[in-house]
Amino acid sequence: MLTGKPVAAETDAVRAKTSTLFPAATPELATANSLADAFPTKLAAAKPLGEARAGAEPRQLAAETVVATIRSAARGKALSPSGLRMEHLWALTLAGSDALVRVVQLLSSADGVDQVPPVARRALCAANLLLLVKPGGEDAAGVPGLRPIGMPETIRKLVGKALMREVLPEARRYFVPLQREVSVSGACEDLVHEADARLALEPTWGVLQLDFKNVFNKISI
Amino acid sequence: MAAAAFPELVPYLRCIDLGESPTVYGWGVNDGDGGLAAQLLRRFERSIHQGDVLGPLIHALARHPALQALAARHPRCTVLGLHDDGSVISPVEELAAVMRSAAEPGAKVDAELAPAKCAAWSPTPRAPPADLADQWRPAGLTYFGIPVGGAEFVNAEVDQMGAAHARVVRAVASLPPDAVQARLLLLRMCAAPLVTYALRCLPPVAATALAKGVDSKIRRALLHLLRAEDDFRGTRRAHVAGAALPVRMGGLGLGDRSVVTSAAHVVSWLATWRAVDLPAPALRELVRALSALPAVTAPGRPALGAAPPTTAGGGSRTPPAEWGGTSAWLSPAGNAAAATPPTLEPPRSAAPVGVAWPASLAAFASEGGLWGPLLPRLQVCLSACVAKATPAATGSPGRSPFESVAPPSPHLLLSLPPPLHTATIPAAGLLRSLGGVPDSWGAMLAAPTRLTQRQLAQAAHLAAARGMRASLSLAARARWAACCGHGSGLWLNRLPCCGRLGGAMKGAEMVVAVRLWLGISAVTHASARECRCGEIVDALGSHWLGGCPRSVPLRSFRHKEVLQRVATVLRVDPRWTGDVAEPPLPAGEQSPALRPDLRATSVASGAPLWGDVSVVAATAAVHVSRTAGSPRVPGAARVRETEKVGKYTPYLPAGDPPHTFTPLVWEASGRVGPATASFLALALGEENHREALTGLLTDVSLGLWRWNARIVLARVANSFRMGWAPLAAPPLVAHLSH
Repeated sequence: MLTGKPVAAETDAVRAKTSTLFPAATPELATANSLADAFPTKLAAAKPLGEARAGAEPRQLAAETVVATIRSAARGKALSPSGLRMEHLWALTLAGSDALVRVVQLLSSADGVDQVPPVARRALCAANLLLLVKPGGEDAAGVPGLRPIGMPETIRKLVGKALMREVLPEARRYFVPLQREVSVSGACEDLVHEADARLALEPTWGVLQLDFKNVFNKISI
Repeated sequence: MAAAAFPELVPYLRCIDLGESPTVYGWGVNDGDGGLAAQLLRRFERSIHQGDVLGPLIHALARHPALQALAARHPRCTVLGLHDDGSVISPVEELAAVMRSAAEPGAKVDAELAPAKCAAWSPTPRAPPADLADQWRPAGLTYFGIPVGGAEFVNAEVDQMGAAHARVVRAVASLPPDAVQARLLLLRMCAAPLVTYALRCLPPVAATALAKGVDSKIRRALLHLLRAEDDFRGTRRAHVAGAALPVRMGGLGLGDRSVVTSAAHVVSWLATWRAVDLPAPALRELVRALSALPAVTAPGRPALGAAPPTTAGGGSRTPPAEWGGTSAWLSPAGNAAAATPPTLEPPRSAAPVGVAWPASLAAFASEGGLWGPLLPRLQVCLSACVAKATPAATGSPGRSPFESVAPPSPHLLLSLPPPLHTATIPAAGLLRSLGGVPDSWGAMLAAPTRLTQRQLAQAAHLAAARGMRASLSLAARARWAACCGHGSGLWLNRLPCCGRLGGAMKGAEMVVAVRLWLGISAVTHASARECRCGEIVDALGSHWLGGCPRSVPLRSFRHKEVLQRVATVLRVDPRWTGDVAEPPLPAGEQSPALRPDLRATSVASGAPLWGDVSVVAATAAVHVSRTAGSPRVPGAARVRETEKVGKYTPYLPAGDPPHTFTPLVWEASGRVGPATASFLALALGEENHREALTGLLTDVSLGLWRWNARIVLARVANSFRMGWAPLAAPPLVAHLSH
């Protein structure tokens, strides 16, 4: 890195700090029921969207979608915990490629929970973690701010990308204009220009930036 | 929420995410017994998993009801969310209530608001609201990385951006002096595009200042890298001007931020407006207002008889800097400006066809006032963009390689220069179909597909290149043409790696190669030289790259390197067998029997193939007029291919299947001959072999330029500097001579 900070040192203090990054589950966290009680109208409004698209029966990912996902995957990406890369999967024989498509379909289908053994699921869920140092100072214990970068298993990434392909158009309709992180290219520029236009129309208004503590690692899904 | 809105995700979440807390591996810890390292670090027990492809989607799903609740509670406000950032635009009096409201629904999804890290600002200077004293930022704030606020605040932030960029340039410059290739790549790929996002979003005045500073540092670093500090001023200027052009036009893409600033800003706004489902009413209204603005032909001067934007009641045009300072927002210091935003004078002529004007001139004028400084600012930016894309030189520059630079193609060989009959296309791609850069926002918005920054920047570069080309000699035009096109600049993108085939170039060779690429003499203070063969050689050494009998041994090395690369690639390709480079003559054959450079057999057809490699200099005296006359066609390579076919085809052995012959001809600048390109596309160009084809073309391009540099360096050292003894002369003679 030319001017960036290096990877965090492998010390006990850094190890301890990761517990604040990835807090443990506690009983008072939000649950599906508490969310349903807190936002009944929002959930009710979302249901027709899902039902209209998916129907009553769970669908399986189309083989064409999976194949397109495998073909369009980026090369030269990080090593997964098992050592697998996309380049390895591209080198599979015809039979191996067919098997790979079926595995991706299985993991994204309702049968996956029953048919994939727990040991395999555990392996597929694993991820390598890179702890980068955030710019800025250190805390009282002398530990810098950490920016965790996860590098999951390649097959899991394939499943996620294939599913993303399926839901992307609908996701845009669902999230925009409130949220822009899904299916919006140049989202930051959009927001800057939108705020520019809004405040040009209403120059006496103001803008408030909201900050939530470690929300990506804490929010209940 | 996922089950309700996106039931497709539920099986995946159950199978992968929610089945069990997944393991995260951090670093290895030696267990001390020499066994496997204990790596287990953490388990994700809640929330989204780092690195999960669906992480952003799931996070957005979890956060969505809270944002919906916030927007429902404050219907006048605009709520905007992006990943873990959120912002609200509302009346200032309401901001404190908004912050309190955001905390409550956020807590229901375990998102804890951090009030101390929240920030608020308004373009109209005022005292901070009672409940927002800690959050209030009177000067401005950084909004998604872009400073918004008063001129002073924006300038300070832009200075910091410039300083951060300077640190990167300094870090690149601090690399070992011999690592010229790596340093140039880092300048091109890291330092130069570092501020692109800021240029797209910053107000034009601030962006222009930033671009100017960035360009200045990049140019200084480049001149240092190419050891050009001691060159004549005119040479240094040529360095800088040539380097600012894109690689496809024979430049380096360095130091061109000032050229592309207005294009970047225009395109960034266009991208926001061209969204299929434009979300914000404010943006929709802005699009409508902009569509009614008149066209421009020169900076600040609307076309079609319309008057320029003026301040209300004033007869003279207000400088752009006064339209809200250097900020997109009203300047806190400029209360008067905030109170009386500039308005547009109504157009004096009828509206152009296809533009929907407001119902009345009065409505038009009031709409200009409604938008404050935003409309004039955008109009001035468009004027600058159009002006940069307009060639300064008068008269036709003649046929040039830049007039018809084709749009980039994903297929490597399809993007090579087209055949002769298409060489005079005046423009290409979308800009061609639009008849050039659109000169009004209405035309920009009505373009059939989205204009990109590359397209508008290319138009600006074309204008600059035409101006530079007008004063060039025929030989210089030929050299420039040979460096244009999509295949010739591949060597500049080659990553230097170790090993014989690693693609690394020595520092001195890289410096010379880049100088030759830019059309600058290989050595400082170079002048015409007299070759040992008696020819007068120009400062670029074109004579030595092709035509000089004294350079034949060095050119043979260049030829051999190309041959070895081609043979290596064919050897590992499963569709070819029996690949032999420089095969011996068949038994019993004697001179003058022909021996092709390469023999191979197609696995599919069993047909033996003969190939003969050749490198031809498009700048050699015999090809100069051809290359300059048809700049987009690799004419020298085409002639050499014809010669090769005529030479070998009569000697192809008869048989079943019949032997075939292919010429393998490159120009010294890296352009591929048309027949060679066709053969390589067939032999290596299938989907699974695209990497092999790309790698071959890149490696050959690199090898050619490496040897070009070596040849010129060697011959410069062994030639007469007009009237002086050669450097390779006996030391005493050379010393006395120099």
